[in-house]
Amino acid sequence: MEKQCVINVLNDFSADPWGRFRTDNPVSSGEEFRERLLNPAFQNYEKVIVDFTGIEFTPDTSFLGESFIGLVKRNGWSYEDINQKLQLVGSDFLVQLVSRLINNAKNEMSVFY
Amino acid sequence: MIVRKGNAVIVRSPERLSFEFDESISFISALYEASYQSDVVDVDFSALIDISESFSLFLLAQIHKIQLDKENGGCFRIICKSSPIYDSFFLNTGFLKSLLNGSCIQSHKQQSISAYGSYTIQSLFKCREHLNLWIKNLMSDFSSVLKQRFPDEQIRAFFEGLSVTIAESLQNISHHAYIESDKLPTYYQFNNAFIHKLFWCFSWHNLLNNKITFILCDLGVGIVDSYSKYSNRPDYDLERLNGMPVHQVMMEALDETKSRFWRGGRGNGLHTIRHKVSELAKVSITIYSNGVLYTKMMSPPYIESINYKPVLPGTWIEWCFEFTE
Repeated sequence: MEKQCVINVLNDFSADPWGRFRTDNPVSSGEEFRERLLNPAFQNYEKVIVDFTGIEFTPDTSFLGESFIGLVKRNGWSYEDINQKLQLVGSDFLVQLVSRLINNAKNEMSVFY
Repeated sequence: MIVRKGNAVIVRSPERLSFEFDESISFISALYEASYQSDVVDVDFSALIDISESFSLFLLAQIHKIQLDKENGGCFRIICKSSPIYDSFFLNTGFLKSLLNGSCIQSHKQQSISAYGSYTIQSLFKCREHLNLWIKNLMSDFSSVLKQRFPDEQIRAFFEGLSVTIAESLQNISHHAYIESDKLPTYYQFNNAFIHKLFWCFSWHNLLNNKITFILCDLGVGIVDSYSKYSNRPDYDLERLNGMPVHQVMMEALDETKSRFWRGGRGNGLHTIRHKVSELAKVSITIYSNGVLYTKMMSPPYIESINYKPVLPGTWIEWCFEFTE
């Protein structure tokens, strides 16, 4: 397994990522991002750097949730895998938001099990 | 409100139409009732002197729904020439035209009706694209003035808030308003708004007071019912929700991580909308759903309120901001 890869959201995906499923946004949804870029990168690299620099606006929580929490809910990764492999580059607001979404989802599991 | 004159059934509008007045919601209820009584109903707006932007969109959506359900675009005859706001509202905003055009159905496509002036029908995706362009234009129009008082980061964060709010609200339509569930009552199978996932959208910049309004309205199951009745949560938790007053269920549904998708890692959209604080402008958010009216000022003094109103179908969300100087 190679060491690391960088996904530049602006260049590799879209300047305007938004929406959870392809049915919401057929062009640049979280589902599309995870299936086309994120999950393959998780499978092939030890470290995955997702760089949001230069995109128009911070994506909505549906896009971010479907992308990153979707790795756990749909692709079988654990929250520990995400914490170990994923590194985000972007505004403080975006990095904190994703971190909060992941923590909330992780706590949801532990509370209700 | 409903008057019979010979064979004609007439519904008379009150002087003011706004969510603040229960009479306004009763007026819409009267439209439904009259439409059951007669194939054609005269709606008399002669007394109308004021209507809020948000209520005008809600009224439009409800009238379109009745037109669709009756499969008759001409089921309402609009009487408004004597109204003091005939020119300023009914004609100049394009409201009358939108009302009489009725709603259109394109198979398997969600619909929206954008600002009255440029009456269009779009898919949810196209609507978001259109609104994002609107935000970028607003940002460019206001940036030079705002830059004199605020750092770039704050300006960007403000418009980012609007963009996120729009994306979150639009998706609520497909994920939470028009839901697929075997628990849905059968009448939804014959409800055209439901079948075609119709929504109505309005963006408005009032140049007189620099007030900018974004409103989105659907005629789905509503936030409270979506959260408490059409959820995959366990029975004991559904029972807990069913025992709670409606406004408390609404407040819980607006909280972070609270979603009808049990343990789905979801439920952050409404929370994000509700907590996007702003220092650039006086921002307020208002949500009406399942008879609960929720309002919050997102700028100091952050006043939050919740009130009961008569129940009408659907959800209506308004994001309003006003640059004070």
